[in-house]
Amino acid sequence: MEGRCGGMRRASLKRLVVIGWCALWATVSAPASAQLEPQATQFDQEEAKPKKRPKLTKPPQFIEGEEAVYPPQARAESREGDVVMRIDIDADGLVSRVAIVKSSGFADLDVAAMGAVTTFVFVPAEFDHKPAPVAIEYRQVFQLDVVVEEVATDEAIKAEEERNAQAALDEMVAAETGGAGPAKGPLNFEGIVREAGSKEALEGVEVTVVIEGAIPEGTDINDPNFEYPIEERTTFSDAEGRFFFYGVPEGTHRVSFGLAEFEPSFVEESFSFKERTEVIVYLDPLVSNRLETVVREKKARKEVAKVQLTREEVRKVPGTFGDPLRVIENLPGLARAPFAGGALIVRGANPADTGIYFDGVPIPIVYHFGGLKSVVNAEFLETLDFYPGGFGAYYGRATAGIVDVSSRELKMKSFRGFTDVSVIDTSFFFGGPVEIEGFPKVTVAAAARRSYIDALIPLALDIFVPEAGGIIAAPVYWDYQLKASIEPWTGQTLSLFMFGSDDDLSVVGATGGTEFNFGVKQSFHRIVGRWTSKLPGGLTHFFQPFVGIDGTDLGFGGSFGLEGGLGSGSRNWGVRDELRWRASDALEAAVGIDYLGQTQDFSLEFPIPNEITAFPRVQFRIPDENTAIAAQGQQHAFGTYAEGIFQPTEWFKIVPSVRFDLAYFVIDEEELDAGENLISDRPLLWSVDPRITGRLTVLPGTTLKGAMGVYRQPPTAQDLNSNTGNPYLVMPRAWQFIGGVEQSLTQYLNLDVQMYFTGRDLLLQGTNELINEGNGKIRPVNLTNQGLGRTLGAEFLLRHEIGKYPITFLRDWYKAILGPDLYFGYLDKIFSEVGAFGWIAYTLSRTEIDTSENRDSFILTQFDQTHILTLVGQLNLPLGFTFGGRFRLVSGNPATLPVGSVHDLDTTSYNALPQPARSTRLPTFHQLDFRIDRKFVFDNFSFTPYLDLLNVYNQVNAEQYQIDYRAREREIIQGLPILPNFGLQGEF
Amino acid sequence: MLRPRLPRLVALAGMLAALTACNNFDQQNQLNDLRILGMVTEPAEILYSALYTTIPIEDRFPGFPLPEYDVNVTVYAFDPRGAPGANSTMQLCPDGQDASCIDFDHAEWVESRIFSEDPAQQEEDRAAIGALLTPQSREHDAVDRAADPTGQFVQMSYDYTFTVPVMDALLRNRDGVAGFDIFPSLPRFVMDLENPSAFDVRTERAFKRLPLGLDLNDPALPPGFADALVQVLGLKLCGEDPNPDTFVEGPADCLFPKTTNQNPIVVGFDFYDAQAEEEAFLETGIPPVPIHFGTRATIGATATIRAHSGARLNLRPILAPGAVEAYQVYTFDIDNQSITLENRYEDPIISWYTTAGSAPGQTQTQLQSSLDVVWTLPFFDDIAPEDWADGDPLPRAALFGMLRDQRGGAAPIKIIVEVRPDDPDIPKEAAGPGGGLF
Repeated sequence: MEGRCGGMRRASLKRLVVIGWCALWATVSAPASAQLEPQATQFDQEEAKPKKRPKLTKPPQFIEGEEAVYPPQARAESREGDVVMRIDIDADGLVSRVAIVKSSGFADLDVAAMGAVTTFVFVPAEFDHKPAPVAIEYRQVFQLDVVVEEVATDEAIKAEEERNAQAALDEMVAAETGGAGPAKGPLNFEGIVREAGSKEALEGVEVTVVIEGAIPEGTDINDPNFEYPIEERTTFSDAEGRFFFYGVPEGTHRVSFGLAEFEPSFVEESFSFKERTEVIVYLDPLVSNRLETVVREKKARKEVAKVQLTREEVRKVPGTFGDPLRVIENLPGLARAPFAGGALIVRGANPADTGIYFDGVPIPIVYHFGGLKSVVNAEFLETLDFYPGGFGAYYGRATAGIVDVSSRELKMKSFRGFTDVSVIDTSFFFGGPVEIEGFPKVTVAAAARRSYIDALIPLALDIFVPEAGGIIAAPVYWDYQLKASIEPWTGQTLSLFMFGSDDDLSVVGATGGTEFNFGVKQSFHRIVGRWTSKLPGGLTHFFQPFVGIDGTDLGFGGSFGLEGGLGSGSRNWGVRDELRWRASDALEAAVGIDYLGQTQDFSLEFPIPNEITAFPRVQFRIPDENTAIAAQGQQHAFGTYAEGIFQPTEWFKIVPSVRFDLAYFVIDEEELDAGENLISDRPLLWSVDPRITGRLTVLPGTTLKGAMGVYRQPPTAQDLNSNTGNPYLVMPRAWQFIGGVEQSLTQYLNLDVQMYFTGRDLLLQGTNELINEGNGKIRPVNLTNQGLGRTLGAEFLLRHEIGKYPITFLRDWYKAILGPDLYFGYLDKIFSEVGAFGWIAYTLSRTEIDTSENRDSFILTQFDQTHILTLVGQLNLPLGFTFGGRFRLVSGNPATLPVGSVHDLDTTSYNALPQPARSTRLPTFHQLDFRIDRKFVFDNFSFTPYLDLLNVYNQVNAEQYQIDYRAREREIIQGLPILPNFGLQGEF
Repeated sequence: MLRPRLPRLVALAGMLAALTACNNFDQQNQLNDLRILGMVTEPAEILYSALYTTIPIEDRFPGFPLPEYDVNVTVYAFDPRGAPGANSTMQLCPDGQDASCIDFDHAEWVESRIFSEDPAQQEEDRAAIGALLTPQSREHDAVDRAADPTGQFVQMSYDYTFTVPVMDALLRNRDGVAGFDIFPSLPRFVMDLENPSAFDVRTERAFKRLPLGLDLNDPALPPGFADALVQVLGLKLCGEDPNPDTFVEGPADCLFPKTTNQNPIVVGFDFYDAQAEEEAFLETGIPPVPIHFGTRATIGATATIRAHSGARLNLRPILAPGAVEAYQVYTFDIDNQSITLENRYEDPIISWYTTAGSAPGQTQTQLQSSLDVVWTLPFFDDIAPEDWADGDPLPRAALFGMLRDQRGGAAPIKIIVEVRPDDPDIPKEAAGPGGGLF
């Protein structure tokens, strides 16, 4: 009889019972849902912050299930094998997922084992006396030399199962108390288990010491009934990877180490009561299990449209140059940015309408020059939250979306390093704990990056574009992050974080005998403190002050006698304080304040043409002296918000919130110079914006969701400057309405569909209107709040979760070709299985604005893209290879093409006769990107060479039209051609 | 508030990409096909008294200054490909229309500008205004490119008479109100030109403005006008003409009496920077006058010369005395947000067009301090017919320039070169740009 569960703990390792519970309760250290759910942001600590580990108070109990059937073909071919599976059991005791942890090497055996397991029904496990999901490992053994008499009965199965469960429970308790069972004898064996390469401590590793007893004299070991006297002692490593054994008998014993998704390992060690044996063991990850890239949607949170990504998930998406922040461009709701990217066009909105935060602190840019790399080192990123809309009152001063990057939580137990050297730049990360006796442990980390394309571009131009004529473009960027974190008391966390970025571009050249130079520089720096404390009564307090400085400078000049510059700088400071109260599972509330202060130093020095005669010139008359415009002052923005989370049942949640914003200017009289125009009499800007989101699970696996709210964004300082804008502007506003459904289709497939409408009003709009105030005084209006806008769209996200697929057919094929003499057993490992994941994101949308005088003529915005289809897939292959691909198919951006021209003989220019504004589009964009890397893992370090190839088939995509001088011909400005980026990542 | 409204660096990246993008377009200063490159109106500007628009028509008193002007328009149009004939349409288009004036309905517009109460006068005015605004179509004679490599069209002169009803129509709205505007009205002469024989680029549409300027210093203006000018616009009248000896560029305190802008005059070219060489290298005009290296010579503004293949000609346009005029402009003081005055001299600019060889698109006095142009001639082989033989006419190339004073005044310049065959003793590269060889 095959496929029956049977006892095995008494058996010799060499004589496993046919089929049985090998309930390796190694992975029951936490509910499965907690492992599968994404990490939450710092403001959702009660939900997903690492909590005190739940205690297993009742293991799952097997109730019923079909037996595995020994495949006849396998039997006929005398094939045997063990199949180790990870079984996710939900809170109802049903099997929610089965994954192969270790294949038998034969697809039919694996399938037979999995087929049986999916019929199993359990009494749910309990953690802290509450039913909860759990994951177990289960070994199915297919062996032909079955002794029928040894097959256990159902009763025996249950008895064994209960024993195993109790044993596992005992071991759990023992592990938590730091030892393997009750202390019997001296502590003579301890060790640490780490992941090879990263050296991260591994928790929950099953460590088993196999102690072979002495064989009594006279025993006939050839007796079929003989069993080796073996004792197994098992424990599990703790959170720091440590394990302990007491009273291990003297002698040499085998010690085995097992953990899901890692290669099993064993060592032979000698033990003595007089000496303590200490070992450090490195487990190799099963590379095929290292599915490092998934896109996740937060299912248990309150937001409707939030997508959260983690550092490990997003580092290998093709076409992103390994930059995590660029992964969001592959998600629904984000339009494709021209050229290398960089502009965050969320649901058709102006990029400036999307808020960018790093650890909750606003930053002016998210990408370095050209959009190739973000300003955050990949290793310093913990999570990346992207809200294409419908975000709560926590965020303000944005009318479109939010990108919030969370810095890495410093939980390193030893010093770690990481470096990435590519053809574009080099970066490093280094960090670890610093322990000084008598002081709490401080964890510190630092990262930095610097580009060197400023050296490569001139070289490339000389070689490939010699006709560039001596134009030297020297873009340089660098960024840095420094962070220290400490937990002085239980429940208290303090951190100090400093980061910054700098971009500098200089172009020097000569054309037509005229020398010119041009330069632009943008930088920002921030210092952020954070204090998080958990208080009694379910309260959590969060306090985060910050200071910073921003700067933007632009200058130009040349031998033509024209030179000028623009500079703006500001000092920033702010604080966020939030108190969150979790009254019960059904009720949670939060209130907070969010203050941002900023000095405004704006200067413009430019030869502004001041002639106002109506006769047009061929070239504007350059004044002898530059016109200087400057403004100084302070800008203050206060925000307060309140939020409630009501979840009366598991299937219904509603989150109302409201935000109050106030913004005003204060003039710093001491810094005024004569002639400067400052905003002194402008009114206060204030707003009250209600928002609400809700989720309703109508069927298992089917959740309806919706959100609506009002969002506003204050004008910029330049907008409110009387010279460059209008001091009397009010805040542009957006009304967002979102509805959608989440549907679980299969074990691996999930579908998320959202529809949304955003109405915008009070948008800023340029005007040539002048107000004659008498006596020669004329005030240009510059900007008004007359613009309207709207976006209607739908988004689809079909996601394939991490899944593993056997490819044993390849092995069989290979084996057949090579024959048994040439076939090596190691190839079994190569052809065992591949991991796969991916998603299909599709966005259908239309975004329009109306800037007409009568407000009756909507036209497409320059950011409108009707169809955005993105396919992302990744295969994690044996031997550490990872292949990934990304394909994008996107509607061309709107364009306005002339239909001819009229030659203005007074200016010598040809005035184009345009079609209706944006009545045509650029050609459809499509591009395939590819990435391959191979990770080499050693005990103390690992390295990964990679190749990221953009635009694999060198598609000539149009980013803009260029029109000839008389608007009769047009050609496209091509996007990036095929572009390889190869490099090497190292980690220790 | 705490973010820039535009991701500046991204925008700059796009801008740089656009600037550095390569293309295969024709250059604007290459004269390859049908082009209208200039118009000259004589006079360059019409000046009228502020009385003319500030006093209602019915209040015009005996002796009221009623202006009437004859205006000649000369169009400079070319097609180096030649043309057996061409069709053109010229139209006067009032200010306030779209730049192209394509959608302008002159008949409807004329009806809206009949202000007289007298039916007979209405008919007379309608005829006068309609005659001026009705498009004039012409068929032009064939263009002989053998005689002129630019393929310049002939019969391109048009005459207009701006009568009182026409001036009223151009300066007043449909209610007969002109109001007071310190800026000139800018009616345009718009030409449509078609070369039916051309395979592509068959048509060109171009226009030039004729400024109708306001003189605020008319002594006949009613008392209080000057005070109102100060009160409303902050402008003070000088009451007398500027002293040429003390007139300097820069801020001005008061507004001088306005003088009518004149078209500049180009009297010829001066060859300069010639290098020492004994051999005669250049022949100018008819009869040819040889010019030697190391000498300077002046030729007319529409000259024909003969030169070596690939030679580089250093040319300095010579303007007639008084071509650069003094004038005043309204300026805007950004700091004080008020209207101010500035004294200026004209800063001429010349747009250059070549049928072959290379020349800069523009030269100007503002940024380059001179109108000098360097024309690098084409090589003989590049422009000569393949079957060219000794004794055949030399192939020709032309350089056309349009001088503009940037206030409405303009003047044409043209030089034609017969290009000699390549000298086998002179390497081509030595004769090219920078070679300095004639």
